Amino acid sequence: MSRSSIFSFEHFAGFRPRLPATLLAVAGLLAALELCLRLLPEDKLIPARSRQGEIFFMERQVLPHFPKPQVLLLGSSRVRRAAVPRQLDEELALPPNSTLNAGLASGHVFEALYLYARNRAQLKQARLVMLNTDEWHLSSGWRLGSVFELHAPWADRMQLPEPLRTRLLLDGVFSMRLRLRIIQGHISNWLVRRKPDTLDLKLDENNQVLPPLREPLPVDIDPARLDTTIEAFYYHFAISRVLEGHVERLARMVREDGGQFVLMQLPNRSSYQSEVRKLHGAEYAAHIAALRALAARLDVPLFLYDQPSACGLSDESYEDYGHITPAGARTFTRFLADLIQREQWLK
Amino acid sequence: MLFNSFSFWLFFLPVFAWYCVLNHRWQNRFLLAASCFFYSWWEPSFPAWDIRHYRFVGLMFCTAALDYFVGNRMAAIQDLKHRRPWLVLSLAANLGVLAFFKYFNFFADSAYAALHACGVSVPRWQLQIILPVSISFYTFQSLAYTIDIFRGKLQPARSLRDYLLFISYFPHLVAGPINRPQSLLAQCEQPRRLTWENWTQGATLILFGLFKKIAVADILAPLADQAFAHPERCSPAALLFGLYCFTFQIYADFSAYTDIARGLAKLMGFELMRNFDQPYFASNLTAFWRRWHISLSSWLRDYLYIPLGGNRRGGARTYFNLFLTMFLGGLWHGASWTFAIWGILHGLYLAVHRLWLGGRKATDELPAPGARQALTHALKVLATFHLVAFAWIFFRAGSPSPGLRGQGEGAMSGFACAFQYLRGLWPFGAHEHSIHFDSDHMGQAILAMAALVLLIDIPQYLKREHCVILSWRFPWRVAAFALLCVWLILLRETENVPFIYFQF
Repeated sequence: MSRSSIFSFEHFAGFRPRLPATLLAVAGLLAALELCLRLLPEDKLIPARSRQGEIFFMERQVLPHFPKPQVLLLGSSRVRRAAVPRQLDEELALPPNSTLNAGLASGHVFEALYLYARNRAQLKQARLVMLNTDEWHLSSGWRLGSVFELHAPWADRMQLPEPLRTRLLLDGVFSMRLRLRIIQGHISNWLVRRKPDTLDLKLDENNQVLPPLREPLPVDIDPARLDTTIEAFYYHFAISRVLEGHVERLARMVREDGGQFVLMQLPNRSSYQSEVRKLHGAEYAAHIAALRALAARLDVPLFLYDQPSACGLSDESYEDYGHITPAGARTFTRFLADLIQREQWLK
Repeated sequence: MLFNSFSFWLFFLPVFAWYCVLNHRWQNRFLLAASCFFYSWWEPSFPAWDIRHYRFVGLMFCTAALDYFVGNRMAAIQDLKHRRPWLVLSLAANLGVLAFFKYFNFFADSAYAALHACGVSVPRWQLQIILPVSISFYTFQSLAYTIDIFRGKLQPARSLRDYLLFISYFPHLVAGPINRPQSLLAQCEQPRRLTWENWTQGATLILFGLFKKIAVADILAPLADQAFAHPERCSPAALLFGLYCFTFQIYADFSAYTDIARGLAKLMGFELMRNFDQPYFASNLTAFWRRWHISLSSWLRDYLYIPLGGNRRGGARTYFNLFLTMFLGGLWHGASWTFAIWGILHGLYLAVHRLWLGGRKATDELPAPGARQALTHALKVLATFHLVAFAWIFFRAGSPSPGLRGQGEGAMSGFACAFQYLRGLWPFGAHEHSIHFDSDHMGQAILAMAALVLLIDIPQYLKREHCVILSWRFPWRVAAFALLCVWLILLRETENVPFIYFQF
């Protein structure tokens, strides 16, 4: 190398590299642990009370009851509470067990996509797939959940903003945080002498997946808690192209399977909605704009309901900020049946 | 670009690889360019191709260039009297910029409130000012340079490039340690050696730092946030637990940054000063300040307390100097009266300790073997820890967590929060307790605190060595590193909280 070179290795003088035995041993141990966990079947490791646990529950306990679904409802617990499948079957004059309400607690679009993709052979029979979105569905600020953390494609992980990207990349390499949760859960339960977690869901006589014993909840809600809920939903609010992509992928799959894909957003309690407009009006408007643009891009129908009255509901139809009571669900199901008939989605 | 983010490592690894193969002159140029890139990353308002993206880099370099010029001028003047105007210029420029960006609105608000309380009606003056990241850190570092040249203790930097690198060197740029020019500037000027030992020690420090940040501080943050967001809704026990969480969180968070900064610097052949020395094992408040944020406390001692007269001008003046130093040290952290109260409280602690000592020297040695001595020492450590924790209430009340979820419009002002917290800690009052911590999360928090103390602090304290793990026998070393790594992976908090000291 010439003397004028910008390169030099003089600062390595006396550098004596050794075999990094500790580093190799630790890396080997971690790799072995990770590999073993990846080889174990997932359902042995995932706690029942988790997003993935709920998907397993749907697959084992619910889906077998619906061998030929005609109408498939996807989304979060809001849609799970809002639509009564047996009533919808009757209103639409469909054979029994034709409507499958597969809403998941805090369910993201990715989870709907994951459920659909895993059970595509069965679910592709649905002639109508309705995805109910929530205001946090397109924002990367709301927690994405363990199903996404475990199964997100690398491209999705890379494209999300920091600090999400780091977290998801680490979860992609070391999935042990998620896969070892059940052991952590057992240790915690043992330490605080608590019964193991179980999923308290049940497919009821209306074909609705709900917790078995539901106490009637007070209709009025604490405004302070309302604030907390809103702040949580709008935490670091940012519309994410990656999350929009999940809707696009789901719509594409449904279309490939010959079904009609519909986007919908159920109304929230009006007092909640006005609080949202006050605290995060701009973010809510951005969500609505993104949803409209998405529907236009995909060329799918979009039904946005801003106020409960638009669906024949009132604030008394809600248990909390946005979950509909059983009585409200009957009203909403009737409304939904009318909408489906009017739009002729099942023709 | 947080140290615990993928983006940072995507930046650092290529920089490090290039750094290793460049000659000394180009290493410094390259590090300077990398530091500019790193610092400008904190300006998200404008894209990289917009000149305004580099406005705070420009501000930092302007003040640094002035100090470089002032340093050269002072070095050329023999007479101390004639050097003084140059020093005044440097102090005015640096403190002026700091005062404008950090304290303008604070003092304007305080003056408005004071006049308003006296019945004088004046218009409220508020400017939309963005606080440049790390301004407090690099200002103090730059001031140390000009003051030391003024005192004749330092030769000026040989080149502006080396001086700018001393100020902006990216590992310590954002949250210190506040390095002295005698050490870091000299390292910038001299060729550095890359050694295997430095690489292993650097990697170990980085691992410790990541562990402290991710597996301890970020685990504790949500519990501390919950308690400080709504102290009026927590039980006294929950508030006490929240306070312990914050006490450990701030230590783990800040020392994590220092460990990673020192580790990165070590990889590149630099040696940054130690900033923490197991502060919560201090057996008195004087010793605490010798162990906590050492680079700031020694800066305040050398450039503020001693120039004010230190303890050489009689009892009353010594106590005044202590209070003033700690008051300004408190305000250095942030433009809020709660920080000032935190500083004054520590000034009070130090004054009482000094009074109690009489003429004796404060000691902080491990006791001689014996149950009684050990018990006495343990009690002293415990008492010091609780006094420090108590003062953190004011500190935390003035600095809401940067990653706090759900603390929007309902957040209280610093004073109200501190008052509510103190009121809530009183166990005999009537309370409405609607906030309960999740038992799993509490268990994780206790484990995180225990891990910090047992796996890192106690071994370091007993051996007086930061990388003590490296001296362990191979199987123990592997077991300890593997445990740290698995813990880091398993107990990683899903929320990523920025380093607390980034806001100062």
